[in-house]
Amino acid sequence: MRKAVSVFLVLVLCLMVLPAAHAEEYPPFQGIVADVAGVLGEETVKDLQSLADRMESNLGGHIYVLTRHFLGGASPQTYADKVFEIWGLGENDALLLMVIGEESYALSLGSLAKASLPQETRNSLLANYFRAPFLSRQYGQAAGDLAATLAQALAKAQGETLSDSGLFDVETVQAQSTPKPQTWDEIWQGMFAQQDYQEEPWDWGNEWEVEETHVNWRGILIWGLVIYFLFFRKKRARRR
Amino acid sequence: MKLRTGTAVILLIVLIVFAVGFGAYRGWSQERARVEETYAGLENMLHTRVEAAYNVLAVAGRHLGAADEAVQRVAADRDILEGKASLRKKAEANEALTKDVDALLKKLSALEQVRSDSRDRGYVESYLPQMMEQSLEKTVGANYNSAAAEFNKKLNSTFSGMIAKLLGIRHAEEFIAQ
Repeated sequence: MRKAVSVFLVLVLCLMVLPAAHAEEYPPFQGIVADVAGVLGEETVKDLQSLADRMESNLGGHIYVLTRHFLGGASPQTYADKVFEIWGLGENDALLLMVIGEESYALSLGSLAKASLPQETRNSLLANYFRAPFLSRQYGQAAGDLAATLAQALAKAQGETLSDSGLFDVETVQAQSTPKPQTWDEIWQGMFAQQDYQEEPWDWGNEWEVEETHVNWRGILIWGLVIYFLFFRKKRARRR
Repeated sequence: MKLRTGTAVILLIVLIVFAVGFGAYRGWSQERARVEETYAGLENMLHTRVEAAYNVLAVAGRHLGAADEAVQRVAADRDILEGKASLRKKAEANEALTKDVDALLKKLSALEQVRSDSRDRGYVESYLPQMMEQSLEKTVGANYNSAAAEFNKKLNSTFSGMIAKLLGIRHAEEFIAQ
Protein backbone atom coordinates (compact mmCIF):
# COMPACT_ATOMS: atom_id res chain seq x y z
CA MET A 1 0.00 0.00 0.00
CA ARG A 2 2.79 2.36 0.99
CA LYS A 3 4.57 1.56 -2.27
CA ALA A 4 1.42 2.21 -4.30
CA VAL A 5 0.88 5.55 -2.60
CA SER A 6 4.53 6.51 -3.22
CA VAL A 7 4.34 5.56 -6.91
CA PHE A 8 1.12 7.56 -7.28
CA LEU A 9 2.64 10.61 -5.62
CA VAL A 10 5.78 10.42 -7.76
CA LEU A 11 3.56 10.22 -10.88
CA VAL A 12 1.63 13.28 -9.73
CA LEU A 13 4.95 15.09 -9.25
CA CYS A 14 6.07 14.19 -12.77
CA LEU A 15 2.80 15.47 -14.23
CA MET A 16 3.22 18.73 -12.33
CA VAL A 17 6.71 19.25 -13.74
CA LEU A 18 5.60 18.81 -17.38
CA PRO A 19 3.55 22.00 -17.78
CA ALA A 20 6.39 24.05 -16.30
CA ALA A 21 8.75 22.62 -18.90
CA HIS A 22 6.34 23.61 -21.67
CA ALA A 23 6.01 27.14 -20.33
CA GLU A 24 9.22 28.25 -22.01
CA GLU A 25 8.20 27.46 -25.57
CA TYR A 26 6.44 30.68 -26.50
CA PRO A 27 6.41 34.07 -24.82
CA PRO A 28 3.42 34.64 -22.60
CA PHE A 29 0.68 36.98 -23.69
CA GLN A 30 1.75 40.38 -22.38
CA GLY A 31 -0.78 42.67 -23.99
CA ILE A 32 -0.33 44.71 -27.14
CA VAL A 33 3.47 44.68 -27.06
CA ALA A 34 5.70 41.74 -26.07
CA ASP A 35 9.16 43.23 -26.49
CA VAL A 36 11.14 40.12 -25.58
CA ALA A 37 14.24 41.36 -27.45
CA GLY A 38 14.01 44.73 -25.71
CA VAL A 39 14.39 46.87 -28.82
CA LEU A 40 11.32 49.12 -28.66
CA GLY A 41 11.31 52.46 -26.92
CA GLU A 42 8.80 53.46 -24.26
CA GLU A 43 7.08 55.98 -26.55
CA THR A 44 6.61 53.39 -29.26
CA VAL A 45 5.04 50.98 -26.79
CA LYS A 46 2.76 53.73 -25.49
CA ASP A 47 1.71 54.73 -29.01
CA LEU A 48 1.06 51.13 -30.01
CA GLN A 49 -1.17 50.84 -26.97
CA SER A 50 -3.01 54.07 -27.88
CA LEU A 51 -3.50 52.85 -31.43
CA ALA A 52 -4.91 49.60 -30.08
CA ASP A 53 -7.39 51.54 -27.94
CA ARG A 54 -8.57 53.54 -30.94
CA MET A 55 -8.84 50.38 -33.04
CA GLU A 56 -10.82 48.67 -30.31
CA SER A 57 -13.64 51.20 -30.54
CA ASN A 58 -13.67 51.44 -34.35
CA LEU A 59 -12.68 48.04 -35.66
CA GLY A 60 -12.86 45.70 -32.70
CA GLY A 61 -9.37 44.45 -33.49
CA HIS A 62 -5.79 45.19 -32.38
CA ILE A 63 -2.30 45.15 -33.77
CA TYR A 64 0.06 43.18 -31.52
CA VAL A 65 3.84 43.38 -31.71
CA LEU A 66 6.26 40.65 -30.64
CA THR A 67 10.05 40.98 -30.81
CA ARG A 68 12.50 38.08 -30.43
CA HIS A 69 16.26 37.77 -30.88
CA PHE A 70 16.15 34.38 -32.65
CA LEU A 71 13.68 31.64 -33.54
CA GLY A 72 16.04 28.65 -33.49
CA GLY A 73 15.48 27.73 -37.13
CA ALA A 74 11.71 28.14 -37.13
CA SER A 75 10.04 29.91 -40.04
CA PRO A 76 8.95 33.42 -38.93
CA GLN A 77 5.55 33.05 -40.56
CA THR A 78 4.88 29.66 -38.95
CA TYR A 79 6.03 30.97 -35.60
CA ALA A 80 3.88 34.11 -35.88
CA ASP A 81 0.83 32.05 -36.86
CA LYS A 82 1.33 29.76 -33.88
CA VAL A 83 1.74 32.63 -31.44
CA PHE A 84 -1.39 34.20 -32.92
CA GLU A 85 -3.26 30.98 -32.20
CA ILE A 86 -1.76 30.41 -28.76
CA TRP A 87 -2.52 33.93 -27.65
CA GLY A 88 -6.07 33.40 -28.84
CA LEU A 89 -6.12 36.57 -30.96
CA GLY A 90 -9.32 37.56 -32.74
CA GLU A 91 -10.48 37.57 -36.33
CA ASN A 92 -9.77 41.28 -36.86
CA ASP A 93 -6.41 41.21 -35.01
CA ALA A 94 -2.93 41.35 -36.48
CA LEU A 95 0.40 40.20 -35.02
CA LEU A 96 3.70 41.65 -36.18
CA LEU A 97 6.72 39.47 -35.35
CA MET A 98 10.18 41.06 -35.49
CA VAL A 99 13.17 38.70 -35.24
CA ILE A 100 16.11 40.97 -34.55
CA GLY A 101 19.07 38.55 -34.67
CA GLU A 102 17.81 36.90 -37.83
CA GLU A 103 16.75 40.16 -39.50
CA SER A 104 13.44 38.60 -40.43
CA TYR A 105 9.81 39.37 -39.73
CA ALA A 106 6.29 38.12 -40.35
CA LEU A 107 2.73 39.36 -40.15
CA SER A 108 -0.06 37.10 -38.99
CA LEU A 109 -3.69 38.16 -39.37
CA GLY A 110 -7.06 36.92 -38.20
CA SER A 111 -9.58 35.72 -40.76
CA LEU A 112 -11.50 39.01 -41.12
CA ALA A 113 -8.33 41.12 -41.34
CA LYS A 114 -6.90 38.67 -43.87
CA ALA A 115 -10.03 38.92 -46.00
CA SER A 116 -9.88 42.72 -45.84
CA LEU A 117 -6.22 42.89 -46.83
CA PRO A 118 -5.12 40.48 -49.55
CA GLN A 119 -1.60 39.03 -49.46
CA GLU A 120 -0.40 41.50 -52.10
CA THR A 121 -1.53 44.48 -50.03
CA ARG A 122 0.16 43.06 -46.92
CA ASN A 123 3.41 42.47 -48.81
CA SER A 124 3.24 45.97 -50.20
CA LEU A 125 2.70 47.48 -46.73
CA LEU A 126 5.65 45.54 -45.32
CA ALA A 127 7.89 46.47 -48.25
CA ASN A 128 6.97 50.17 -48.22
CA TYR A 129 6.60 50.98 -44.54
CA PHE A 130 8.50 48.37 -42.58
CA ARG A 131 11.40 46.72 -44.35
CA ALA A 132 13.76 49.69 -44.75
CA PRO A 133 13.58 51.04 -41.17
CA PHE A 134 13.68 47.48 -39.80
CA LEU A 135 16.85 46.59 -41.69
CA SER A 136 18.44 49.89 -40.70
CA ARG A 137 17.61 48.93 -37.09
CA GLN A 138 15.04 51.66 -36.51
CA TYR A 139 12.85 49.09 -34.82
CA GLY A 140 10.49 51.48 -33.09
CA GLN A 141 9.92 53.45 -36.27
CA ALA A 142 9.42 50.25 -38.28
CA ALA A 143 6.82 48.86 -35.86
CA GLY A 144 5.04 52.23 -35.52
CA ASP A 145 4.91 52.98 -39.24
CA LEU A 146 3.60 49.55 -40.10
CA ALA A 147 1.05 49.49 -37.28
CA ALA A 148 -0.34 52.92 -38.22
CA THR A 149 -0.51 52.11 -41.94
CA LEU A 150 -1.95 48.66 -41.34
CA ALA A 151 -4.64 50.05 -39.05
CA GLN A 152 -5.59 52.68 -41.65
CA ALA A 153 -5.69 50.08 -44.41
CA LEU A 154 -7.90 47.80 -42.31
CA ALA A 155 -10.24 50.66 -41.43
CA LYS A 156 -10.51 51.75 -45.06
CA ALA A 157 -11.14 48.20 -46.28
CA GLN A 158 -13.88 47.76 -43.69
CA GLY A 159 -15.52 51.15 -44.34
CA GLU A 160 -14.47 52.65 -41.00
CA THR A 161 -12.48 55.73 -40.09
CA LEU A 162 -9.54 55.71 -37.74
CA SER A 163 -7.45 58.59 -36.52
CA ASP A 164 -3.78 58.03 -35.81
CA SER A 165 -2.96 61.69 -35.25
CA GLY A 166 -0.36 62.30 -32.60
CA LEU A 167 0.99 58.76 -32.79
CA PHE A 168 4.41 57.60 -33.97
CA ASP A 169 5.40 61.03 -35.25
CA VAL A 170 7.47 62.28 -32.35
CA GLU A 171 9.81 59.48 -31.55
CA THR A 172 12.25 57.79 -33.87
CA VAL A 173 13.82 55.03 -31.83
CA GLN A 174 17.41 54.36 -32.71
CA ALA A 175 18.58 50.83 -33.28
CA GLN A 176 19.55 49.13 -30.07
CA SER A 177 23.28 48.87 -30.40
CA THR A 178 23.73 45.86 -28.17
CA PRO A 179 21.24 43.39 -26.79
CA LYS A 180 20.01 44.43 -23.35
CA PRO A 181 21.63 42.47 -20.52
CA GLN A 182 19.28 39.70 -19.58
CA THR A 183 18.94 37.07 -16.92
CA TRP A 184 19.54 33.43 -17.81
CA ASP A 185 15.82 32.79 -17.76
CA GLU A 186 15.18 35.64 -20.17
CA ILE A 187 17.95 34.47 -22.48
CA TRP A 188 16.52 30.98 -22.46
CA GLN A 189 13.04 32.37 -23.05
CA GLY A 190 14.29 34.48 -25.90
CA MET A 191 16.40 31.87 -27.61
CA PHE A 192 14.64 28.57 -27.51
CA ALA A 193 11.38 29.07 -29.13
CA GLN A 194 10.48 26.07 -31.14
CA GLN A 195 9.97 22.90 -29.23
CA ASP A 196 6.70 21.16 -28.76
CA TYR A 197 3.68 23.17 -29.76
CA GLN A 198 1.12 23.80 -27.04
CA GLU A 199 -2.27 23.29 -28.66
CA GLU A 200 -4.39 25.07 -26.06
CA PRO A 201 -3.94 28.70 -25.01
CA TRP A 202 -1.67 28.56 -22.00
CA ASP A 203 -2.37 30.09 -18.64
CA TRP A 204 0.84 32.08 -18.86
CA GLY A 205 0.07 34.19 -15.82
CA ASN A 206 0.16 31.17 -13.54
CA GLU A 207 3.24 29.60 -15.08
CA TRP A 208 5.08 32.85 -15.04
CA GLU A 209 4.47 33.26 -11.36
CA VAL A 210 6.13 29.91 -10.76
CA GLU A 211 8.99 30.83 -13.08
CA GLU A 212 9.58 34.14 -11.39
CA THR A 213 9.39 33.09 -7.77
CA HIS A 214 11.00 29.69 -8.31
CA VAL A 215 8.83 28.42 -5.50
CA ASN A 216 6.50 25.58 -6.32
CA TRP A 217 4.19 25.32 -3.34
CA ARG A 218 2.28 22.42 -4.83
CA GLY A 219 5.57 20.55 -5.18
CA ILE A 220 6.52 21.24 -1.58
CA LEU A 221 3.13 19.99 -0.40
CA ILE A 222 3.37 16.78 -2.42
CA TRP A 223 6.95 16.11 -1.28
CA GLY A 224 5.78 16.65 2.27
CA LEU A 225 3.08 14.03 1.78
CA VAL A 226 5.59 11.58 0.24
CA ILE A 227 7.92 11.95 3.23
CA TYR A 228 5.02 11.60 5.64
CA PHE A 229 3.75 8.40 4.04
CA LEU A 230 7.23 6.88 3.76
CA PHE A 231 8.53 7.58 7.23
CA PHE A 232 6.26 9.16 9.80
CA ARG A 233 3.22 7.00 9.17
CA LYS A 234 5.32 3.88 9.73
CA LYS A 235 6.75 5.27 12.96
CA ARG A 236 3.28 6.10 14.27
CA ALA A 237 2.08 2.59 13.44
CA ARG A 238 5.04 1.10 15.36
CA ARG A 239 4.27 3.22 18.41
CA ARG A 240 0.74 1.81 18.45
CA MET B 1 4.48 -43.71 -7.73
CA LYS B 2 8.08 -42.99 -8.80
CA LEU B 3 6.80 -41.67 -12.09
CA ARG B 4 4.31 -39.43 -10.34
CA THR B 5 6.98 -37.96 -8.07
CA GLY B 6 9.31 -37.39 -11.02
CA THR B 7 6.56 -35.71 -12.99
CA ALA B 8 5.72 -33.51 -10.06
CA VAL B 9 9.37 -32.51 -9.63
CA ILE B 10 9.70 -31.74 -13.32
CA LEU B 11 6.47 -29.77 -13.27
CA LEU B 12 7.69 -27.86 -10.24
CA ILE B 13 10.99 -27.06 -11.93
CA VAL B 14 9.20 -25.97 -15.12
CA LEU B 15 6.89 -23.78 -13.09
CA ILE B 16 9.79 -22.22 -11.18
CA VAL B 17 11.75 -21.60 -14.39
CA PHE B 18 8.67 -20.12 -16.04
CA ALA B 19 7.90 -17.94 -13.03
CA VAL B 20 11.47 -16.69 -12.78
CA GLY B 21 11.73 -16.11 -16.54
CA PHE B 22 8.34 -14.43 -16.82
CA GLY B 23 8.98 -12.28 -13.76
CA ALA B 24 12.40 -11.23 -15.00
CA TYR B 25 11.14 -10.45 -18.49
CA ARG B 26 8.14 -8.50 -17.23
CA GLY B 27 10.10 -6.55 -14.62
CA TRP B 28 12.94 -5.64 -16.96
CA SER B 29 10.54 -4.71 -19.75
CA GLN B 30 8.93 -2.24 -17.38
CA GLU B 31 12.35 -0.91 -16.34
CA ARG B 32 13.26 -0.50 -19.99
CA ALA B 33 9.98 1.33 -20.68
CA ARG B 34 10.79 3.73 -17.85
CA VAL B 35 14.15 4.50 -19.45
CA GLU B 36 12.44 5.06 -22.81
CA GLU B 37 10.08 7.53 -21.16
CA THR B 38 13.00 9.73 -20.17
CA TYR B 39 14.24 9.73 -23.78
CA ALA B 40 11.71 12.44 -24.68
CA GLY B 41 13.52 14.70 -22.22
CA LEU B 42 16.85 14.07 -23.92
CA GLU B 43 15.29 14.75 -27.32
CA ASN B 44 13.97 18.08 -26.10
CA MET B 45 17.39 18.98 -24.76
CA LEU B 46 19.01 18.04 -28.07
CA HIS B 47 16.47 20.19 -29.81
CA THR B 48 17.71 23.20 -27.87
CA ARG B 49 21.21 22.41 -29.19
CA VAL B 50 19.85 22.35 -32.74
CA GLU B 51 18.11 25.68 -32.16
CA ALA B 52 21.31 27.13 -30.75
CA ALA B 53 23.17 26.00 -33.87
CA TYR B 54 20.54 27.64 -36.09
CA ASN B 55 20.91 30.90 -34.17
CA VAL B 56 24.71 30.88 -34.47
CA LEU B 57 24.42 30.14 -38.19
CA ALA B 58 21.92 33.00 -38.62
CA VAL B 59 24.54 35.48 -37.39
CA ALA B 60 27.40 33.73 -39.23
CA GLY B 61 25.39 33.84 -42.46
CA ARG B 62 25.57 37.63 -42.46
CA HIS B 63 29.35 37.73 -42.26
CA LEU B 64 30.67 34.47 -43.73
CA GLY B 65 29.53 32.58 -46.80
CA ALA B 66 27.77 29.22 -46.64
CA ALA B 67 30.89 27.70 -48.17
CA ASP B 68 33.02 28.71 -45.21
CA GLU B 69 34.59 25.66 -43.56
CA ALA B 70 33.69 26.65 -40.00
CA VAL B 71 30.09 27.36 -41.01
CA GLN B 72 29.85 24.01 -42.80
CA ARG B 73 31.13 22.12 -39.77
CA VAL B 74 28.49 23.64 -37.50
CA ALA B 75 25.80 22.99 -40.12
CA ALA B 76 26.92 19.35 -40.39
CA ASP B 77 26.78 18.86 -36.59
CA ARG B 78 23.33 20.43 -36.52
CA ASP B 79 22.11 18.16 -39.32
CA ILE B 80 23.23 15.04 -37.42
CA LEU B 81 21.57 16.21 -34.22
CA GLU B 82 18.40 17.04 -36.11
CA GLY B 83 18.33 13.85 -38.17
CA LYS B 84 17.75 10.21 -37.35
CA ALA B 85 21.32 9.19 -36.48
CA SER B 86 22.07 6.78 -33.63
CA LEU B 87 22.42 8.16 -30.13
CA ARG B 88 26.16 7.53 -30.20
CA LYS B 89 26.51 9.58 -33.40
CA LYS B 90 24.33 12.30 -31.91
CA ALA B 91 26.48 12.34 -28.78
CA GLU B 92 29.57 12.74 -30.97
CA ALA B 93 27.91 15.51 -32.98
CA ASN B 94 26.86 17.17 -29.75
CA GLU B 95 30.46 17.22 -28.52
CA ALA B 96 31.71 18.39 -31.91
CA LEU B 97 29.08 21.15 -31.97
CA THR B 98 30.54 22.71 -28.82
CA LYS B 99 34.02 22.87 -30.36
CA ASP B 100 32.85 23.89 -33.83
CA VAL B 101 30.58 26.67 -32.59
CA ASP B 102 33.40 27.90 -30.38
CA ALA B 103 35.73 28.02 -33.40
CA LEU B 104 33.10 29.74 -35.54
CA LEU B 105 32.34 32.37 -32.91
CA LYS B 106 36.07 33.07 -32.50
CA LYS B 107 36.40 33.45 -36.25
CA LEU B 108 33.42 35.80 -36.32
CA SER B 109 34.64 37.94 -33.45
CA ALA B 110 37.96 38.41 -35.26
CA LEU B 111 36.22 39.90 -38.30
CA GLU B 112 36.39 43.67 -38.60
CA GLN B 113 32.79 43.89 -39.81
CA VAL B 114 31.59 42.10 -36.68
CA ARG B 115 33.78 44.16 -34.39
CA SER B 116 32.32 47.33 -35.86
CA ASP B 117 28.74 46.06 -35.57
CA SER B 118 27.78 46.48 -31.94
CA ARG B 119 24.65 44.31 -32.19
CA ASP B 120 26.32 41.32 -33.82
CA ARG B 121 29.40 41.72 -31.66
CA GLY B 122 27.08 41.46 -28.67
CA TYR B 123 25.59 38.27 -30.09
CA VAL B 124 28.95 36.72 -30.98
CA GLU B 125 30.84 37.61 -27.82
CA SER B 126 28.17 37.31 -25.20
CA TYR B 127 24.70 36.15 -26.13
CA LEU B 128 25.45 33.10 -28.27
CA PRO B 129 28.30 31.68 -26.12
CA GLN B 130 26.06 31.90 -23.04
CA MET B 131 23.26 30.21 -24.89
CA MET B 132 25.55 27.40 -26.08
CA GLU B 133 26.91 26.89 -22.58
CA GLN B 134 23.48 26.67 -21.07
CA SER B 135 22.14 24.32 -23.72
CA LEU B 136 25.13 22.01 -23.14
CA GLU B 137 24.49 21.94 -19.41
CA LYS B 138 20.88 21.01 -20.07
CA THR B 139 21.88 18.23 -22.45
CA VAL B 140 24.44 16.73 -20.12
CA GLY B 141 21.98 16.88 -17.28
CA ALA B 142 19.20 15.11 -19.16
CA ASN B 143 17.75 12.28 -17.08
CA TYR B 144 18.05 9.80 -19.92
CA ASN B 145 21.82 9.55 -19.54
CA SER B 146 21.72 8.46 -15.94
CA ALA B 147 18.62 6.29 -16.41
CA ALA B 148 20.14 4.38 -19.33
CA ALA B 149 23.49 3.92 -17.57
CA GLU B 150 21.80 2.68 -14.40
CA PHE B 151 19.57 0.30 -16.36
CA ASN B 152 22.53 -1.22 -18.23
CA LYS B 153 24.54 -1.57 -15.05
CA LYS B 154 21.72 -3.42 -13.28
CA LEU B 155 20.96 -5.55 -16.33
CA ASN B 156 24.56 -6.76 -16.40
CA SER B 157 25.06 -7.27 -12.69
CA THR B 158 21.89 -9.04 -11.50
CA PHE B 159 20.72 -12.63 -11.93
CA SER B 160 17.27 -11.60 -13.17
CA GLY B 161 18.96 -9.18 -15.57
CA MET B 162 20.99 -11.98 -17.10
CA ILE B 163 17.82 -14.04 -17.55
CA ALA B 164 16.07 -11.02 -19.08
CA LYS B 165 18.97 -10.62 -21.51
CA LEU B 166 18.59 -14.28 -22.52
CA LEU B 167 14.90 -13.59 -23.11
CA GLY B 168 15.61 -10.67 -25.43
CA ILE B 169 15.78 -7.55 -23.25
CA ARG B 170 18.38 -5.29 -24.86
CA HIS B 171 20.68 -2.71 -23.32
CA ALA B 172 19.54 0.91 -23.46
CA GLU B 173 21.59 2.93 -25.91
CA GLU B 174 23.62 5.42 -23.93
CA PHE B 175 24.14 9.02 -24.96
CA ILE B 176 27.93 8.86 -24.88
CA ALA B 177 30.38 9.74 -27.62
CA GLN B 178 32.94 7.09 -28.53
